[in-house]
Amino acid sequence: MRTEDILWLGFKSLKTRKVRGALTILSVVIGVASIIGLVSQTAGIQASVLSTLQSLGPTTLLVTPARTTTLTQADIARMMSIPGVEGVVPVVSAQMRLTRASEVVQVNVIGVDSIGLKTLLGEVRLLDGEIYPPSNTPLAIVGNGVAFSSTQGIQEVYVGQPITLEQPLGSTGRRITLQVAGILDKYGSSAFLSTDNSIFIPIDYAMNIFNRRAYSYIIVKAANVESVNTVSEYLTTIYGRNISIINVQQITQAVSTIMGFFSILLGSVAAISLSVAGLGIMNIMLVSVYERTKEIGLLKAIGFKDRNVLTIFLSEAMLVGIIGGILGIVAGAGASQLVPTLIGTYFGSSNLGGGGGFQGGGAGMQGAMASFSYTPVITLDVVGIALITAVSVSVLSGLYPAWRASKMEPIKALRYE
Amino acid sequence: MAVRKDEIVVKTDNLWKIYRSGTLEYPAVKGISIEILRGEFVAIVGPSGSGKTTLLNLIGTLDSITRGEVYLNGKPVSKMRGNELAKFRNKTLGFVFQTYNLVSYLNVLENVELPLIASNTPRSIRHERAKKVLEQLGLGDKLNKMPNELSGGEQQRVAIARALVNDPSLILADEPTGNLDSKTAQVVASILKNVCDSGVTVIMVTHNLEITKSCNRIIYLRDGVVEKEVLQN
Ligand SMILES: Nc1ncnc2c1ncn2[C@@H]1O[C@H](COP(=O)(O)OP(=O)(O)OP(=O)(O)O)[C@@H](O)[C@H]1O
Ligand SMILES: [Mg+2]
Repeated sequence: MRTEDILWLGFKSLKTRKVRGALTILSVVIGVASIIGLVSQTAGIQASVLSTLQSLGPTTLLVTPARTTTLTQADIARMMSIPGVEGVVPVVSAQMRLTRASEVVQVNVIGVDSIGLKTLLGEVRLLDGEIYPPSNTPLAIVGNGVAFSSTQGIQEVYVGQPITLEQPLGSTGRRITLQVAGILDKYGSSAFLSTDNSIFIPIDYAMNIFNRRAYSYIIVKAANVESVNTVSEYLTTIYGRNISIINVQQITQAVSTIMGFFSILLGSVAAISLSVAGLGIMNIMLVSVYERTKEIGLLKAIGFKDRNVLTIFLSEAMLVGIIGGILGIVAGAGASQLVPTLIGTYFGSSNLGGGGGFQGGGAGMQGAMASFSYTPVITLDVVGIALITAVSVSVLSGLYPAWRASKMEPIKALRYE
Repeated sequence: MAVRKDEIVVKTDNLWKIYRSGTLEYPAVKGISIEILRGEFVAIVGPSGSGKTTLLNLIGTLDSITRGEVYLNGKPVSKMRGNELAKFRNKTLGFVFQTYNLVSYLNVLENVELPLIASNTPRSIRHERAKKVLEQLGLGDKLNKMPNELSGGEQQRVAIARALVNDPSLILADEPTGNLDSKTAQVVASILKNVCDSGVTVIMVTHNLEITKSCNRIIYLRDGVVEKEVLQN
């Protein structure tokens, strides 16, 4: 028998039982859509986290004070002297309130020198204005979300305009006025640094107005990727448990591993739904074989071989897999775009709710979820795997019913009422 | 090819069929030996349960032989298995059933094409051949109709077209007029008669004594044995 005739007969028979065919296909669609939908989320989150880390660069170590330690000017010199260290960037940060035209918003004020800013952001992309000079001046570079209102996207802060910041009550309440030197492009927020909700000012000025002598954290740049771990070990030898070190390279690997694991986990959960679809296909096809007993008998009487009957039924199952797979990919791609919005709604996606940058290890992470955003990533690999899985599951599920059909004796089939 | 009336198309040699269910044995065909020649139109008649269908199915290679042998065109059928048997049925035999057994989701033309699909016939030849046979049976205007849009007589003509499309040497018809009124039954019988005249052997099981009039020979069965054979001009 010709392949095109086998497929044609499979398709014809699938088409006759419309509702039933649609339901079997739907079960495959759901399975494939969940694979695509779920795996694309982890891939998107991974890409987002990794790109943040990558902007810091794999040679970066983040040093935050632990216990009662403080990191001061003296520590900068000390870290500079470690072999393999190329640069040391101190950062100080605080939460303040900004009164804008339409609303009062919480922002992170981050003191960092102009060179350190490049280290922090990877690349400084300005929409307007310029970077502040390396001096003790009340100039500020504001994040995109600070300059534009979250609701309508209307610009409320301009270059050259003065802005007033207030320290929240309770602590040493103070007011400062800064002049806007530049406005940053949209960076998107990440788990580590909500650039869009931050205001960057020269570190010396920040130390002055915050009245601090200690830094919030220090960025240590190693000369190259190979020396990162040695530098990290040096730091541990010097400071022991008095500092915590975030090794970007290590985190990158850890994130990759964890997200890879989640990908497999979610993918497997989705694959289970696909195997349930497989059971459905098997069940429905067994019913179909039973109902078509007479037809099978007839086909055999007029000269169809066992193998022909087998492949006709398998082709029907395969078509279910292919149609369901393709529709599932489309549905999954659509659904995957909705998930980030749903997550955002669930956690309350206020654009300016972000935490205080790298502030004290975990503290910075707390608010991060609220402002964390990502775009789901659908790779060709995942699409291919989902489609192949759908077709294999369908064909495997059709195998037993099709085999039953092929082994049917023509006489029993024809006498069947 | 000239029709050689003496050529033996079907021969059964002490043919037995014993149905077994558990320890019970029921002999449905008990040592039947008959010979049927090319171009003969043979009717098998007899009371219900006398073994007519069983005999026809044994001749048609659809059922397994308990004892004895069936020779079709001189070939012992019990030696054939699987694909060889399928191919043999496809090339040599044509079946017509009481309940037509058309495939419900295929149209008239496609139903008739089925045996040619099984034998790998190219699409264009397939269409031509099926169309020609349907036209000969007066169904040229029904090619794209679905089976459920046809009358019983039309459906049975489609089934006969399907049986003829592969140029078989033997047509086996089990009560082909059983579901038809007497007038339509006559039409179907005369079609089968015409088929015989073209050199194809037809064996027909029937309860309708009226349509046996056009047959060359009537075989009377009773309790699994041939009770008598009557030759008609
Ligand atoms: N699969 C089977 N198992 C057991 N007995 C069977 C089976 N098939 C047929 N029989 C029996 O064999 C006998 C002959 O059956 P068969 O169908 O050949 O009769 P028939 O002459 O065609 O009858 P009818 O005119 O009613 O169609 C019947 O008694 C029937 O009950
Ligand atoms: Mg019968």
